[in-house]
Amino acid sequence: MIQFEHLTKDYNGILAVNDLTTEIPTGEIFGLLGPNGSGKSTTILMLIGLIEPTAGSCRIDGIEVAKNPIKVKQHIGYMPEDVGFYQSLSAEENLMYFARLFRMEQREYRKRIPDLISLVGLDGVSKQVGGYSKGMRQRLGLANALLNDPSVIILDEPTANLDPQGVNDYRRIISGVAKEGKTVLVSSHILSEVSRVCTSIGLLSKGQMIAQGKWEDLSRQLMVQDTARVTFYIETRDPMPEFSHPDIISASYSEDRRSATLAAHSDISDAVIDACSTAGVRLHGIRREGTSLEDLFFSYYQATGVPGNG
Amino acid sequence: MAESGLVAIAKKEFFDHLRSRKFLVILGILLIVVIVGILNGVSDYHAKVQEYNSLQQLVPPSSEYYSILPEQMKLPPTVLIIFYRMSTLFTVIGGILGIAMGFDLITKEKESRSLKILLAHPVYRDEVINGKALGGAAAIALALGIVLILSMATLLIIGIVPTGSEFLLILFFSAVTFLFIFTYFAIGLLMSTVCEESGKSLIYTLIVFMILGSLLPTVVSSPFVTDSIIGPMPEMPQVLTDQMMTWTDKANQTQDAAVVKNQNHDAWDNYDRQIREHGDRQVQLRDIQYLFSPDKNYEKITTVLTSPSMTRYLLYATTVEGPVQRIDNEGRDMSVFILYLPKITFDFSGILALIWGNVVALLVLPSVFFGVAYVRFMRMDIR
Repeated sequence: MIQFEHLTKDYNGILAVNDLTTEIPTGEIFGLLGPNGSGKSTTILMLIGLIEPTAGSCRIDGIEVAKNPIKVKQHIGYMPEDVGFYQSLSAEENLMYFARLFRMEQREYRKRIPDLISLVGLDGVSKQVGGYSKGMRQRLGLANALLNDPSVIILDEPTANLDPQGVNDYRRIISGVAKEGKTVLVSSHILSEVSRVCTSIGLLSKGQMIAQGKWEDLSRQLMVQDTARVTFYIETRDPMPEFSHPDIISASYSEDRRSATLAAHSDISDAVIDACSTAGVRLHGIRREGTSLEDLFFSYYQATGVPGNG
Repeated sequence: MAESGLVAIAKKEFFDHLRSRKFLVILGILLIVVIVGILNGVSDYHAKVQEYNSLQQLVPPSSEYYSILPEQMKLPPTVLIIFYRMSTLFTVIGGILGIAMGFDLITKEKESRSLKILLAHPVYRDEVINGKALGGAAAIALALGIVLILSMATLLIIGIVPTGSEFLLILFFSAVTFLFIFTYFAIGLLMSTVCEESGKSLIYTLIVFMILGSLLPTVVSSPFVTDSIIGPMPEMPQVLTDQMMTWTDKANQTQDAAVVKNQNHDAWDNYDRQIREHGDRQVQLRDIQYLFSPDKNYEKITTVLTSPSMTRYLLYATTVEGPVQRIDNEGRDMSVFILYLPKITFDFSGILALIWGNVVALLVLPSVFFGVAYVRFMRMDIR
């Protein structure tokens, strides 16, 4: 369980987090949504004990972070945005090092690390991390976040650099750990991503939680059903088929049918991948642009009268 | 049993250094320098042995002139002279090794973004910085251990066997060299906590290296600076110059020369006092560099340890034998032989008495630099 009580962080007069009070129950996958500068990262850094709050407190499984940072860190797994590792070490060596910092017994981590590497799809990769793509580093970051079998997992922009397959793997893993009763906090600015994996969501703006609740309730509250629009830019090596999906709003294809722009109400990337696979079309890439959070907030502010970002 | 965070970090850092190409390259250069230094040192040693043997034949201990020989000339050459040349090379290569090992220890973590993930694990910040220092210190110690073994092996192959006390001094020399290299390691570590990029950290560390190693000693010993701060060397009064010339003219007539020498006592004493005071001021000014420069402290310690004949130049005017004109108990004129030569006893306690301040400085300097790096790292904002 994660608890924030009047959590406040003031950077020389600028309130990054302003009197945040909320609770994330055990077993929940909580999405912390907000635009850049809304206080998501500062909140997470206070939660993992890397920065001290100006006022208030946060607790993990009942332990106050500022008072017992080391004890708290034994309970959490953390993956920062743009995660970094020791470039001259392999994935296994990096994880072994971090396992030693968790005071894990050698016998224990020698068994667990290969399982985790396999879980995140990095098995068979023996090269140094310096040669990894961003997506591979992110996969390794996820393995590291699960290394100590934590009760709370904190993920900052976890899908930012992942390919569609990586995103699918990530969703599968996160759903799996939540079923084991672990609490997951996911910070993101991509609404569609959070909506797919999280059971509840909190909207952060200017360091304040302006809305919080189950996704279904919140989406109604924010009128997301009417306004959500995800745009996909698809490129293939072979002429692509016409995609059909009930959520597609509009579609335009290039003359050679090797690129297309689709607008949809939800994330249809899985359907696109399946359709390409069925048609034997080699997929070159899918770029996705979610609904602008600013638009969402604007509609929310219009509906509630809460002062917004501008 | 699971190891502590400090030990885990120190171990990783130690093996990182051993795997690092820059460490291996500089260690390789260091080993080449050691072999070349030893081979050159061995020829110096043989020359000194020959010189000493000739002197012993020319002025045997039973000779009446033996007692007026400077103390260091009476000492048989020591194997440590072989390390003298090596120490001058260590001043540059050892400093560079320390810098190369320290300048990117924190910046590399910032650049690869591993610092945030490292500190998200259950380790105290001080374990991180202490572990890095410990790992670096262990790697430096290993490098010097290899150097020591190689040196001793080379000496034994050549057929030179150090005595027990010489071996102790060689160990002391190695310990001091460790402190010197660790000082630059600590400066590099400090810069890596201050800077955001490794490139900048390296440049700032090299600037400090140049200031402490070259600029400060050059400025402090420059005649322009010395003269403007403490004034020029007192000139000999005309009356004494005239007396000296008269004495030189009559040098062959012992009786007349003795008469001349016994004149102008007050003027000689006054001139002697001025020279002493100027010398003391010069030493005080020169000693300023010992407060800041690891190079000068290392140079002084290693010179005293390895080269008695060079020591007196380092200690000029610190210990003064007597005035320009001094007649010993038997009526001999000492001024011909001894002009402001230091009195030094070249046993272990005598050597320690000369260099203890510098040893303390070489303990304090890395502690200060590491202390600042420690405080800076503990207060560093991780975002």
